[in-house]
Amino acid sequence: MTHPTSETLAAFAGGNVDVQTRADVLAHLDRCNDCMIAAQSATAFLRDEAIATRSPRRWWIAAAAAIVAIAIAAVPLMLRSRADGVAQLVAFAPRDERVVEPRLTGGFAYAPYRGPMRANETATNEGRLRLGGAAGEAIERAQRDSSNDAQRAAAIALVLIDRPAEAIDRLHAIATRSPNDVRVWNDLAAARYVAAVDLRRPSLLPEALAAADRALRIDPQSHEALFNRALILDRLGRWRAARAAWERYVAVDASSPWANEARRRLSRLPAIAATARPARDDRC
Amino acid sequence: MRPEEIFHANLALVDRVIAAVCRRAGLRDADAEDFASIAKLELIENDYAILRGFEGRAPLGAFLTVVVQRILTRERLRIWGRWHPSAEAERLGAAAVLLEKLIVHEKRPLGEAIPIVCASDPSLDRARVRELADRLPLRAARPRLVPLAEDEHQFAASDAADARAQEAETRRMSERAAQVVRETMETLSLQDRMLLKFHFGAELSIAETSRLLGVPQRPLYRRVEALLRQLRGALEREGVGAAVVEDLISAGVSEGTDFGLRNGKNGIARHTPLMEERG
Repeated sequence: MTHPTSETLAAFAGGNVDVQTRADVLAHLDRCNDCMIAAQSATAFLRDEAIATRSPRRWWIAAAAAIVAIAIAAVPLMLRSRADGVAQLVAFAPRDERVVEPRLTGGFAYAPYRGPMRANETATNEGRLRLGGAAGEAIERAQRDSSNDAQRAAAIALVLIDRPAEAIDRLHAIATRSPNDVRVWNDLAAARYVAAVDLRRPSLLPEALAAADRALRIDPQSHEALFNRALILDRLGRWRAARAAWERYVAVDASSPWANEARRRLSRLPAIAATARPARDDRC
Repeated sequence: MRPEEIFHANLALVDRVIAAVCRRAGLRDADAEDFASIAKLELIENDYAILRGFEGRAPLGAFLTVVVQRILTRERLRIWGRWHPSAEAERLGAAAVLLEKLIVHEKRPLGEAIPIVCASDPSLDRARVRELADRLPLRAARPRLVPLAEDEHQFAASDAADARAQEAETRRMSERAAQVVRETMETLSLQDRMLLKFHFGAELSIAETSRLLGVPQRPLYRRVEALLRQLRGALEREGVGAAVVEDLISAGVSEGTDFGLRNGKNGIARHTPLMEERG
């Protein structure tokens, strides 16, 4: 049985098909349960969306408030000398262990990742406390400074202090404004990865992968994005693609400590199982 | 806009679509999260091949809904394979088929299955679903000898036997009614049949049905009435009068009966893609 394409079915649900197509789809739906369910689902979705659109929203109040807030925040910014927030975070990042598993941009030095920090470690780890202080400053600065740099620094800070969901929102907003900034896409990939793992939201892993891919479209040699992409595929259990991604990483970074970790991860990859999902090696 | 940009710019829409499909399918919590991961991966796979096929002929949300719904169908088929409900579950209707699939095929505990079945059919309460569960055949448990307690020498009373006989008669009449409706539906034009399927089977409004059929909305109200008269006439000719139908409804048997308004054996009206079969 030849099924209508998804778009044809969606257009049918929206009532945007010609007479012949409608007749064909109706005849098909008369005997195909799967497509009937899909058409019903699309119709229900359109109904829900229409209801949501009709519900009154004081959107303009929020917009006006945002404009005012930006205007107020902009004044002191003109007067204030800007410290590079990311550089501060880099300076305070612990040297003996990595705080998050993926790589963030900005020049964070290599440190081994030993897993998520436990609650009882917080008070005793001075390095983390210093980093927390710098992160707090970056976040506070971003409340007054709407520039991409300040917002990105705050987002990185949020990732480092284990608030990745908030970081995602900020980075996504920056990515929308500056779609060709490789750093933003990479950090977005990192934030999504951290959120996926920490918050147990595996649905963020494909989004992380998409962000890493986007970063690599902009800069195919980006070490951070190449590392993160391999990490994400690894986590997704896409062993074949992960293997190729780690190999690609060590091809561009053969000697750094990051490369050593990449090799270790590569060696730990399981043999490609017969049940593994199809490889996605054609990306980027 | 490139497919990659469509994905990044519409992540919130993608999430809404996936959430809606999961909600309708009764997928929640970790199951919904896992499915969201699978669906998003498929969307970005092969350099956004699915989104590259989108030509803008339909609203993006509707397109994504169809895509995600189909991913769910494929995924369930991949995990479960084809599964056939027991004859008893089929006889008891769509809710029982769903319940059996959850507790027998998916091996979910009854406590987990009950809210899913209730969500799929708001007319059912927990007690009614438990009743359905009691009536499903035991497929797995091997019979074994168990000691009887001293006070368990109770035998079926004649009242219970009468009730079972009455129940059997009600079911027989329900099946007969369903058969008449199905046969009458087959004699209708495609448009009339789809009108009934959309409006009563898929529970779409007349406005939505008119959009799908590509006909004006207003005449459809009368058309539905005419078709219902036709169905009523066919039922009455077969001895299934209004009083009998009323009995069937009050007995709750009609809830699960397949009148052919939904495609396939399992139906769609209660938003139960858990029961999807491949076309």
